[in-house]
Amino acid sequence: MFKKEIKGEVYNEPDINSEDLQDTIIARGVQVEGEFKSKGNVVIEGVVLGSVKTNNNLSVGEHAKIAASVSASNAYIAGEIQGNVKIKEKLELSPTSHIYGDIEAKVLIVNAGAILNGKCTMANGEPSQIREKTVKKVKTQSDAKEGSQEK
Amino acid sequence: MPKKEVKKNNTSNIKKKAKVLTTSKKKKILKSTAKETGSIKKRTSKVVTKKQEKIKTFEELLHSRTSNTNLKKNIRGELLRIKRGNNTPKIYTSPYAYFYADFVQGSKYQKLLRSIENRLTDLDISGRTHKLSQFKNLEEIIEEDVRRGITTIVIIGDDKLLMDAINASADLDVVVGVIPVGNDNKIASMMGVPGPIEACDILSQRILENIDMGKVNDKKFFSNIEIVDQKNPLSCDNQYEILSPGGSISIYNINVLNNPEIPKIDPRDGYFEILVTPKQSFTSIFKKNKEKNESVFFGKNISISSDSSITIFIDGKKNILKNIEIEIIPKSLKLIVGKERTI
Repeated sequence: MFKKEIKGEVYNEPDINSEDLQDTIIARGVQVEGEFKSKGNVVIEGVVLGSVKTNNNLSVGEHAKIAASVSASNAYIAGEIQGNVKIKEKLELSPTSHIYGDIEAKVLIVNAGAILNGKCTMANGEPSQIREKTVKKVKTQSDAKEGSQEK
Repeated sequence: MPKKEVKKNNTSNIKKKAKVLTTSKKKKILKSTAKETGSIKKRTSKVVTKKQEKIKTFEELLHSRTSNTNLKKNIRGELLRIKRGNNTPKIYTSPYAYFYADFVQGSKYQKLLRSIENRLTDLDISGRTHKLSQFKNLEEIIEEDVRRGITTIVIIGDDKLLMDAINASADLDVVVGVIPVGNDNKIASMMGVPGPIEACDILSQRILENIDMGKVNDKKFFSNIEIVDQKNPLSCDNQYEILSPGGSISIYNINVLNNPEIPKIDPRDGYFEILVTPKQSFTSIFKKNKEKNESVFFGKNISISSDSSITIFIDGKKNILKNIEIEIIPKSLKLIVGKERTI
């Protein structure tokens, strides 16, 4: 009764949320070269040369080969990556994964059989203040002991 | 004074006078000769310059001729435009124009057409009608109608005519609607137009949807582009290149065929959906469990450059091009849609 009738010109703006974004898939037999950027999830089964950047999840298949720097929010890696991997949240390495480069992640899961050759840096990996204080205390105590022994 | 001295003086005077005369004459002669020589020089220089002006390169001559012809053409065109502008007042009172497909004009659809026309007059949206045939150019008719104040084009027919009308009205500020008649009406069902009589009500409701259009080398397209047997890399947004030797590439703006195997394609997102299918190996044909080997990319500007010509299918029509530049034109097409649309 009180509903407005749709008459005249009505324009519907599409709502593009991150959830609505479709997955970008690089299948087997396809090669991508250059700076590859995506807002949605990325699934790689083929070959990528250059760099891969996504704001969402990244899945690297068993047969995938990546010679690029990789950055994503979350990542599951089962293929080969030659380059640095920078993950904001969780990085999981499957038993078939090969990584030749540095890793940076908040949470890291390494399954048995995964090959990792590179430096590993975890976010918030700096020593906390309490630890620093205890280290300092221990140091001062040991110095005092050494001093007394010398005397 | 003695006579001899007088004579001497006279002779000296005469000599002096003669000298003066000769010098003046000489000066005059010199002046005249200088003038002549100057004039001759000037003349010769003029002749030389004229000759130089005359001697032009072939390119210059061609350019001058073409520029003249272009000028004439422009003047003619402008005069024609002015004439048309003066002679064609906006005489159509209704903003609607209805285009009847060729096959609709048979006796099979006469009853249906009469009921459609009655419904349109009831809803007060009737307008000018065009009964199309093989010898009528749809593009020209639409252009002429738009010049005469038509703002809404309605197709009474199937998908083929609708696609032609969309491509013909791509550069014009026109709204496109459809009354589906015939067997092939997939686009109409996507637009949420179920049948011909319901379509009249949908036209009167006038819900508008802005949809993206594609552009290939200055030619607009509605649905998709297909490239079979890829040889050259496909550059996407000038950022990365996709290569799948021997594979096929489909660039979608809208999935007209409503193929369930193709992932969901949104014609309003401002992106092309690029589907890349790699070349199938001989052994993979006999495999029972076939893997999904389709890559999906998203891009706004796509380009392919090659030395040899490439065969591509634009909206199903074969084209042979050398360098291909594809870009998306966001929300450039206005369609009248129903509530149950899937676009």
